[in-house]
Amino acid sequence: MIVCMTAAITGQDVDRMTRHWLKRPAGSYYGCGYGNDLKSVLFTPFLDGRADDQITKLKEDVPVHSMLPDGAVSLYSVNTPPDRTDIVLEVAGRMIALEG
Amino acid sequence: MQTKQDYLQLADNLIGNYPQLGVLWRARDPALLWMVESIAAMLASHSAQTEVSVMEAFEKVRDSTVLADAAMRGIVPSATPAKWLVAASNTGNTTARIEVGRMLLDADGLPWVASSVAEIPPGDSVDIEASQYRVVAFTHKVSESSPLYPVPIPESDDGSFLSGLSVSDDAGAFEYRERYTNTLPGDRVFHIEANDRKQIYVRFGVDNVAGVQPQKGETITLNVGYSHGAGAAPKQGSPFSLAYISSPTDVQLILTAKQVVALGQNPIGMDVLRDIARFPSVYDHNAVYLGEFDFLVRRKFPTLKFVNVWNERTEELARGASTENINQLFCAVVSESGLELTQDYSGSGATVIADEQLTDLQLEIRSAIEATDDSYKPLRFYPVIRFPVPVTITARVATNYVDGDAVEQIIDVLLKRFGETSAASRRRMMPSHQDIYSTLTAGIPFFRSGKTELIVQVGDIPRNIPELWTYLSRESMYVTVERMNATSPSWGY
Repeated sequence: MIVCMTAAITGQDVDRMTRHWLKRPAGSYYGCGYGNDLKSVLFTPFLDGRADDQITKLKEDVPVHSMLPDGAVSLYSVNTPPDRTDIVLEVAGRMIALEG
Repeated sequence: MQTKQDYLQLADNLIGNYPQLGVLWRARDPALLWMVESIAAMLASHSAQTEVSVMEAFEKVRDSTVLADAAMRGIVPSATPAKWLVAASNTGNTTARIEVGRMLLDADGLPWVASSVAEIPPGDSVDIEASQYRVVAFTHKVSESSPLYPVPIPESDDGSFLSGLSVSDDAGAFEYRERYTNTLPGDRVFHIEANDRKQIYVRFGVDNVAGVQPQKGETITLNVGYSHGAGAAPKQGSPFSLAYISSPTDVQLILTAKQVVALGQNPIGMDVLRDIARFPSVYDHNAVYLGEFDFLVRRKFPTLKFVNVWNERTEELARGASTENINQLFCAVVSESGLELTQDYSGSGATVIADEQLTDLQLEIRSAIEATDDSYKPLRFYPVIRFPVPVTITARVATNYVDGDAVEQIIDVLLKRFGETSAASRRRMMPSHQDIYSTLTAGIPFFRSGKTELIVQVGDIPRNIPELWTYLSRESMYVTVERMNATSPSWGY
């Protein structure tokens, strides 16, 4: 559950908040649009900019990210042989592999 | 009513009690923030719901309240069948006969029932009147003898609505009595009502109080009429056919839709019910309130082009006093089918229409008034006197408008509002100068821009002629448009 050990927000908290965002689809909370919509990035052209839109959404939904410098959050795909493409979210140096 | 923001403000005020959570709240940690936000949203919508409920008894917003209100007033959702004149022409060389109740089918496959008998000589064509409904018979076995025993009426399976009902059992027919008024114990009557789920019931009476209670095991037969209401709209000239051929002479008949007598009406819709629910009571029109026979005729025959019902006082202002006018009502009517007698204005009122020349519609109006108040003598009919009101309009507009267009526009706008088929002309109408000015300025854009001049003169309308039908027609309007040298306020062209 939510436990904040000190009175400050640490990188651990940012990591926790980002994982929270990743686990909730958009609209799963009543009355607001909080949540990730990463499924909409699938099967679309790279240059559409949807990945950037998702990062913008993440920054809106989890306001802590606005305190991090630009470039601290990035979303990219890694080709794993034989035929997998994994999408990875990198937050301030920590990699979060996205399941599902 | 509390909004979502109110609840969030409450949470904000209380978060100070929890210092560790307070840090996360101010950093807008999603795990904490959105949980609280969604709870606030749920409470806000619940608050809105409660707000509606508090006033629901007075404002009747919800569908379920409106339907329950309608059921309580005794409004039964029923459709009025469409009535058409069908021309039956006999192409053979023997006389053909169509009886009352003969089933016909129209071009859309809807069932119609002939309501007049016709003998058609060979080579000739006779008009018969047909109504769009079909009758289905249901039997119901009484399960126990209880007071006010209800029998539900089944819904139709083809999207048609209830439009008529007759109830009978082994000993004969039952009579319809609305809410058991004027019913003695032992009278064989039934009453129709609807509940708030639009399920319609036939109810019988109470032994020794009013009506009869059916005995256990009795079989009740319901003959239910279903009609498509406004959904039955054959086109003029479309073919009809006999549903069953019962003799060789039937094959020779060619049936075509000739003219509408009455349009079909669907049952009352939710929005009208919602309006009715705002008023404290709607009486059921089995008597006339405050002597408003005009309203009664308008309500029963909603598609008349012009109708006026007046009493002896108005009659004596028009035609002088006479003892014949005592206890008499008078009526002048033109229906959509236009079969009634009309005449043009020639300086004075009209003379009474003899009984032989009355159309079916006029006879129906007579029996409708008799059914509500038979203390009056049979309704006397006068032919409607057509009076196209002479109107002179002079308009001066800026030079960049085309003359012909302007005249056409003025005539169209005025015909739509005051013409023969307009809603205003259904009653006695005196178009005032103010009315015409405001209709023209509202309906025609060039009167609102630049410098325009409009002069209207309405001719004299004869007074004291209650059967006068005043309307504007193309021939009665004299419109001139002059162009003045005025600069138009627009730029460019």
